[in-house]
Order: sequence, then structure tokens, then C-alpha cells
Amino acid sequence: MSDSSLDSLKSQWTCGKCGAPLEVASVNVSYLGSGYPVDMLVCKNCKRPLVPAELALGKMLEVEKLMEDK
Amino acid sequence: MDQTRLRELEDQCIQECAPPCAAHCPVHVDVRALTSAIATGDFQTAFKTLYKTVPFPEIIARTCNQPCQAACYRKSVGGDIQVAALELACIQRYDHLITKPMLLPQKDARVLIIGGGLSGLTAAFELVKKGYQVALYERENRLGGRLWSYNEDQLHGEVIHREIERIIDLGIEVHFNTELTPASVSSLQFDACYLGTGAGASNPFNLLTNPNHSLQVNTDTFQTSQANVFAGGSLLRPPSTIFSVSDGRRAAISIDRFLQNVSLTASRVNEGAYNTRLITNISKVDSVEIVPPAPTGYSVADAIAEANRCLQCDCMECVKVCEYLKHYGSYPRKYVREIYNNLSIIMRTRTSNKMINSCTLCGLCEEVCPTDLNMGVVNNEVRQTMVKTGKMPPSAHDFALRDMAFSNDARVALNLTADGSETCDYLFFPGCQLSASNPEYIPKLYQSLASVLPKLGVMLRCCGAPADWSGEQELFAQTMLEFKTQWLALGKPKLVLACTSCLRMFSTALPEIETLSAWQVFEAHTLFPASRQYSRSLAIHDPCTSRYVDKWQDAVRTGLDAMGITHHELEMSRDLTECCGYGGVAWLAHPELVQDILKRRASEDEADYLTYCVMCRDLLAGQGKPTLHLLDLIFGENLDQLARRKGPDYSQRHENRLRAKEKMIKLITGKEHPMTESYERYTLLLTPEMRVTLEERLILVEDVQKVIEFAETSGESFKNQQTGHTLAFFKPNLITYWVEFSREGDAWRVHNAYSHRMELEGRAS
Amino acid sequence: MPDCARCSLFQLESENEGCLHLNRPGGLELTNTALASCKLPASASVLDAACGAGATLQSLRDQGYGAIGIDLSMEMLRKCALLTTTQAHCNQVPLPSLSQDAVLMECALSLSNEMVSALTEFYRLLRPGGWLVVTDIYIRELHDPQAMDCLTGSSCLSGAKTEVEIRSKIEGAGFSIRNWQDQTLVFKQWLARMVFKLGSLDAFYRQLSACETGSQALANTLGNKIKLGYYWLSAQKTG
Repeated sequence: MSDSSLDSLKSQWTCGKCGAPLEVASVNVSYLGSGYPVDMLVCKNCKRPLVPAELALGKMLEVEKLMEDK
Repeated sequence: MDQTRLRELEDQCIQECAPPCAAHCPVHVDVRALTSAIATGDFQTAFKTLYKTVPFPEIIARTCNQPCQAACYRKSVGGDIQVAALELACIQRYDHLITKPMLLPQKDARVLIIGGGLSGLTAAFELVKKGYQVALYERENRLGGRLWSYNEDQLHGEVIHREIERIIDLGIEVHFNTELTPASVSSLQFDACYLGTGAGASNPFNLLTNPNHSLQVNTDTFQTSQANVFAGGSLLRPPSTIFSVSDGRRAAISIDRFLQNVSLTASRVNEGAYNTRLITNISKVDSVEIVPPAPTGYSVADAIAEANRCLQCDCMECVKVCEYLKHYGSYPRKYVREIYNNLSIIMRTRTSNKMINSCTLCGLCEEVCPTDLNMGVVNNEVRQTMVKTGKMPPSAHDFALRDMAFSNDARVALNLTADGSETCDYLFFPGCQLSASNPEYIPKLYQSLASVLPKLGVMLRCCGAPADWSGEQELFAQTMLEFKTQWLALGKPKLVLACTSCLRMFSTALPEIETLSAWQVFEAHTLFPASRQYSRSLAIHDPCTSRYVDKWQDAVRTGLDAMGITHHELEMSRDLTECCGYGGVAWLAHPELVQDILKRRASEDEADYLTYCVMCRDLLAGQGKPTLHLLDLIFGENLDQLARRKGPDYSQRHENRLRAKEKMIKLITGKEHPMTESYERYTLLLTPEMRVTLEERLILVEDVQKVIEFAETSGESFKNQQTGHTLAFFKPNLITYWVEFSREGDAWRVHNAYSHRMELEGRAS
Repeated sequence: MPDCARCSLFQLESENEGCLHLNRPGGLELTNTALASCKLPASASVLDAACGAGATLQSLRDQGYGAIGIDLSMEMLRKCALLTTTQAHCNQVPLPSLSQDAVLMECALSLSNEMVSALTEFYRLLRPGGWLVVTDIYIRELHDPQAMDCLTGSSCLSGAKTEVEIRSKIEGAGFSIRNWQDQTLVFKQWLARMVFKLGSLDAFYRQLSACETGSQALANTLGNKIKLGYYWLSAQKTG
């Protein structure tokens, strides 16, 4: 995630459970046994990560394909 | 696979066997090469081809009794190729190209040739080339013997003189007007002798004869009762110029071996005329009439036309029908060698690995092969060896094997009897891919079957085909054992199958199990719904694993008739059917090739296809070929749309298997599976654009509902301060689904939905 | 023989994580696995050819080996201040013949313009029975030989070779290959990190090749026509 898009998301979203603001944190995402640290937004309290469409359909999809590719 | 097995397999492929013309010609003129050259107008190459085997080309062309023609495959489709006339057309144009052959350094040994006919002259020619001193004794005052008995129109004396002089000029010592007697022969110095004196001639060596007074001659070596005397030509057989040339040459080979003191008999197979093993299929060859030569010989155009009639005989039966065998540009004899090399050397070439893993193992090659060579069996055998010896690339079949492991995981597999009893009489085994492609059909099909079969249980799992196809013998055996253990515990029920690949696996590995197809049950109990309609006649695509399974093939056709569906056969149907590319896990090894396989199959008939394997259906429909599964006709609505639907992607297939399990548990036990369908109460508001987005992203409405349900019940979500939208995710199994939504009255408006397969593990340390 | 300036593929991470020699696919773990396959004596002499900033070199020393590093880049060697290094080309290593028990070359063999002469030099340096240990990129699948042209403009990929080529060059230099292990998964993981770092594979290819259009062709080539892999091998000096 670029810093600017993280900032923009941060200003829009809050945690629906506890109402806390979000913060940038490194979250481990893994696929087929391989994990990678990715900076994304998480709730300050619950730590639940927010995966925006851009990340899911962009980098994550690309890595999924890469790892599945023979 | 060892050397012996390699040889056997190589030998089984007849592609490199000689065409019948060359095999039946006692000197093996390469007629196929000759006509091939003429067909392109290259008379010079054609002439060289002829002269390579025939030292007297014009004499032969004018007198040959053409044993090649008797065997010609063209004979029954327009008439045999006019080989001699074509030869003459070359000779007339390029005879001047003949140059003096290379002679080997002169040897001390001296060979006597008795008789100056064609066989003696050929023996003299062959031996003088090898460096022997050759002395020829002729009874008459001219050479050629019986050649002079032809009339001048057929064979002019000038031709005889010209072609014989060319031979004699190589350095053959000729004695005319000399008939040798036992007395005169004994005074001559020689190391070996060839007797080519023609029928009824004297016997100067007092050789042993047969009761009919003919000489005793070994028909393979031409050796007589005297070790250094050999005989051939018309003293052995009815006169034939081409056989005389053959005898002279073969006797010369024996004489050379005799003088070198090596075996006369070793490796002399197929030296004279023989029956070839090559078979050429002429069932699709159009008849073309012979182009007759003018009295003065062929014009260029006519010769080319006649040469073009030659079928260029070869086999290639399997290559013609198999995209895989065609793709690698050769034929099984060569492939087997390449595969063997790939196995035996440490230095792997990726191309051969890929070649071995790209075969669909469908067995069509065996069906069309005149000698029943099955490349699928070879490839599967080699895959097994590669797995055993650790030469199989670990990534080769991993994806398919993991898919299989998923299906047989306790979470996904199901084993359920109808009334809670421990055993059942019948066991419905729909196969993992039917659950994956069309989970909604599983309970429907079960209900239909259960209405006529007492005590019907159900088992959802994978038969083990991916392991078998990948060469993973141990894994396959283990998978079969797991199944068998459960089957025994169920009281050995009869298996009711819906997939021919499952059938293949069970009938191969567990032949003691009685199986029948769902279609046979439908057929026997008239369960096929009447009066179904499809706008066009459907062409039947039999799955490759239905090859030789007439009962299944027949039941499907009966079913179509019963439903009132017009259908017709593809040219390659039933035992000749083609694989869609899913077999043998080829789709994993070589997806581009599988596209070619599908294109070929899809283009064979303009009609929409009907099949009874979901993988065939999904792959063909994915290629753009409208294809229905038999179950679509039985249970489906809106058939036109069903025929065009794309199959689910791999993750969706996993989800579907779970869904099939849920549905079956609910159907049989009436109990909800832990994954209840309470989410259905969340009514969605979807714009047409959003529906398209969901479709493209392979997200189902129920996936969206599950996310919303989870967010609404757990509160675990994010809130957008500007729009008021909620964003939440839910991961029912493998895929994480995200939905952005807002509440509108009693319903939920979907603003966005997307998914990922990567897993969120929480904060990285 | 690379100097790190040429090594754009693995230098992408160089700003904060060093170039490939520090942060190559598989890391030290892979190096140690490969070395372990050789069962070197406790205080064996090991040459790290193209040692970069010296991470492996340090590890070798920590394990008790007599480790020497060479690299072309003084900038890199300055980071190895506490280790035994010298600036040298792989074709001309200022060490006596038959002096080494092992030569290690990580992610550099295919970068070398003169692979054969480097191998010849390693052969000279090694004692009989000495080990050559290599980790590197290779061409795992080549569907279209002409696609190789497309790699030429992309720095270090231009030297990538197939397993068959690599094996024949190494064996041609007098070595017997004892182990070849495909490590493509490790390479893919490394690429995946690139995707997260740079945004997409395309962005990665754009950095690899000089221009936009080049990156398109490269992406297409690497997607369809050439599949790259990664390996380690150990080979023994014989004959």
C-alpha cells in the first residue's frame, strides 16, 4: 500500500466494533505456506486488519497467481 | 523401463517399417522417395534414388515385372502406381548423370563369375566395387544372357550394351565364348565363385543337386554344397530381371563375408523381398485413376501427376487423431526413445518431462494403432518410475494432488447411509468433480436413485484418479485402501457411479466391486424425464474413460431418446472418442496444448455437445463450445444458458464440494450442517452492474450474505465515516470474502465485493 | 563476474536491505543447506566468490571455516571491513592453485560474462575432491528459444541458462555435479516480496528493463515463454 492511499483510508474508516481509529501495522499474509509482511490498516484496539479492494485485487491476486503458476 | 522393454515398445510402432513397394521389391528401390521427388518435379533426385539400388536402371525399368505394384496400397483406390514408367521418365532425363562409382582398394582375393547374365553382372559389379579381382566367363560371344530375348521395342540392344559396358569398364576381366567344364575350372585360380549360368546349364563343380536336378542352394546365403561356390539368378527361379539383380547382389554379400571369414548369416533380415509390417489406412483415400504414359514415355506433367497419386505410405494413425502426439512433431517410436533417454540420464531436459506429463493417458492411440501401442500406458509407467526415483519435478502434479487431498479430507468427504443403519445395499458415489461443478445436482440425483434403489448410501470423496494419473502409485493404493475399508464396513454395497474416471479407477484397482452407472439405473427404471426440449440436435461427446464401456454409452443414448432429445454421433465417438484434455492431469502440465485439444474437439461438429462427464463439459464450455451435461437435461432449466455457462474456478470447486456435503447431510438426516443457511434471510439489493462484478469475481450471492450475516451478528466490521457504509470480511473456508454494504429498510445494498485467497495471519512479529 | 552495479535484479532492495548477496532468495539458510551437502572438514578453506557485503562470509567465519571473499566492488568490500577480502575478478583470483576446499558462488554465476573462465579458475583453486557450491537463477522452462533475446536488455537475466546448459558448462570444466536442488519456491517467495514492495510484477519488470515498452515484452516473456527458477548445486572437482 502506498502511504497516500493508507492515509486516505485511515481518514475514512473506523472500527465498527469498538469505534477506535485505524493505524498502520505490518500484517503477515500467507499463501500456500509462504508468508509476507504487508503494511496495512488495523484497528488500534482489536487489531482486525482492513484489506481494501485495491490490495486484494492487486498485489494479493498477483502473488496468488505467482505462487500457483507452474 | 529397461533396454529390453524399450526395444519392444520401439518395435511395436510400425511407422518406420518400409512401405510395401520397397519391401516387396527384392532390391528395395525406395519407390516412395522416388515418387515424392517426381511429384515436386525433381526428376534428378528421383533418378539418383533409383540408381542407388539398381546398377542397370534402364534395363530394369524396361523389363521389371514390378513386384512393388502387387503390394501397392493405391491399387484398390484407382490402380497401382506406374513405377517402371516413372523410372523410365527419370532415366530418359538424367541417365547422363551416372558417374563411375568409388572402388575400394584392390584386394588379393580373386572371384570367378560364371555366366554373363544380369545376376552374374550384378555380382561382378558389387565385388569389383569392394576391391576384389573379378573374372567373368561367358559361354556366348556377348554379355546379357536372357536380356537378348526381349524384343527391340521393349529393350533395344543399344541399351543392353550401354549399361553393361559401364559395369565392365570398372575393371572386370571378361572371357567370351568360354563354357567352363569340371576340367577347365580345376585349372583356374580363384578364391570364390558365383554361378549365374541360368536354367539347365552345366554343373562344372559337380555340386549336389535336388531330386529334380536343380542345384542345392541356401536361399539366404546362396551358398552351394561347395563352401566357396555360390549360385543365383534364373538357375534358381523363374526368370525375373529384378530378382536376378537381387540374387547377384546378395550372393556378392555372401562372397565378401566368406572371403573376410565372417558369419554368412548374421543380421541378414529382410534382405530380399518380404512382407512389411507397415499398415496404411486407405479408408479415407479418394480413388484417383492411373495417368497412363504416352508410347514415348511420360511427359513431365503426366509423370508429376502420376507420382502425386502415390500415397507416400506410412502409418501415423495415432498421430492423426491425437493432438498431443501431433504437438511434438514425431511419432511413438521416436517418443519412446526420447522418453527412455529422459529416464536414463541424470541430466534432465525439461522438454521431455513436460512431454511425459502432457499425455492425457486417454488410450485413443491404442484403439487406432494397428499393433495396439498405448502411449498412455508408456507415459503413465514412466511417470511412476520418475516418482519412484525422485525424478518427477515436485511441482508437476502438486496442485491436482492437493485438490484430491482436499476432497478426501474429513471436513469435505462424506459417508452416510440412508436410515442411520451401518450398512447399505447401494452406494451413490457421484465423484469429486460432479460435486465441485454442480453441487445442486447431487441431492437431486440421490433422490431419483433412492426412489428405486433400496438402502442407498452416499459417499462424497475423490476416487484417486489424480494420484494414478500423476504416477503416484503409493498414494493411489493408499487412497483405494481408504475407500475399500469404508466400503467393507458398509457391507460391500454396489457402487452407483456418475463419472467414468471413477469407474476406470475402481474397475482397475478394485475389480471385485460391482459398479453401475446412474444412467443405467435411470434406464432400467425409466427415470429419465419425458419431453425435454433442446433447440438443436446434440452431438454426443463420450468421455475418454467411457472408452469400451458400452453399458454407460448405451444408457446415455437410451436416456436421450427417452427424453425426446434429438442427437447424433461425432465421427470420433464411443471407442474412438477423444479426451477433453483433463485426463492424465495434462491440463496442469501443458495448458496451451489442452487448448489445442479442446479446439480440435470443439470444431469436429457444429452442433452443441452433450456429455456425461462434468470436466469434459466445463472444459468444452470454457473453450466456447456450448455443451450440456446429461444431468442438465434431467434437472436443469434454461438449457441454452446452461450449455454456455462457464465452470467454476478451482477455489469455487472446493466451496462447492462443501456445499454438496451440506446439502446431502440435510437431505438424508434432516439436520443442518454446522454451516447453516441462516444467511439467506439477508435480502440483497444488487444493481445489474454489481451482479456482473460478482460474476466476474466468482462471488456468489450466498458468499455475500454470509459476510453480511457475520458482520451483523458479530459486529466485526469497519465503518466509513463519510458514506456510512460497512466493510466486513468472512472466510467460510479457503477464500476470504469482503463486502462493503449499507442497510436500506429490510434489505442490504451491496456497494462492493471482492475476495482473496491469501490468508491474514494477524500482526507480523 | 558481477560487480553489484550490474546486478539490477537483486539490487532493487539495495537501498535499505543490501543487494542480492545480502538478501538473495533463500538467504543464509539456503547457503548452509548447500554447504552441508558437501560435508566439509571443520576448518576447511572456503572462497566466497562475489561476496558482496559479506553476510555469507561472516557466517562462514562464524562456522569456523577459513573464509576469504572476493568481489569487484570496493563499495561492497568496505562493508566487510572485519573479514578477509580482496578486490578481484573471478577469472583471476590472487590465491594459489589447489588452495581451497570449497568455492561458493551465490547468485552470480549467470551474471558472469565469462562463466567458463570463472569455472576454470575455480577448478584451479580447488584441491582434488574440493567442492563448488552455486546458488542462482536458471531457466526452468523455455517454450520459445527466441524469447531469450527479450532478456538481453534486462541486465542480469541475459545470462540465465537452462539446467542442461549449466550442468554441461560445470561438468565441462571438470566438475561432477553431486547435488542439484530446485529452489524455485524460494525464488517465487522472493518475487512475491517484490510485488508487495513495488506494487506489481510489472513494476518490477519496469525496473529491470530500461523502458516502459521493454517491461511489457519482458513481462510477457517471463509470463509465458520463459519460466525462471532458482537452484543450488554442489559439484566436486574430479579427474
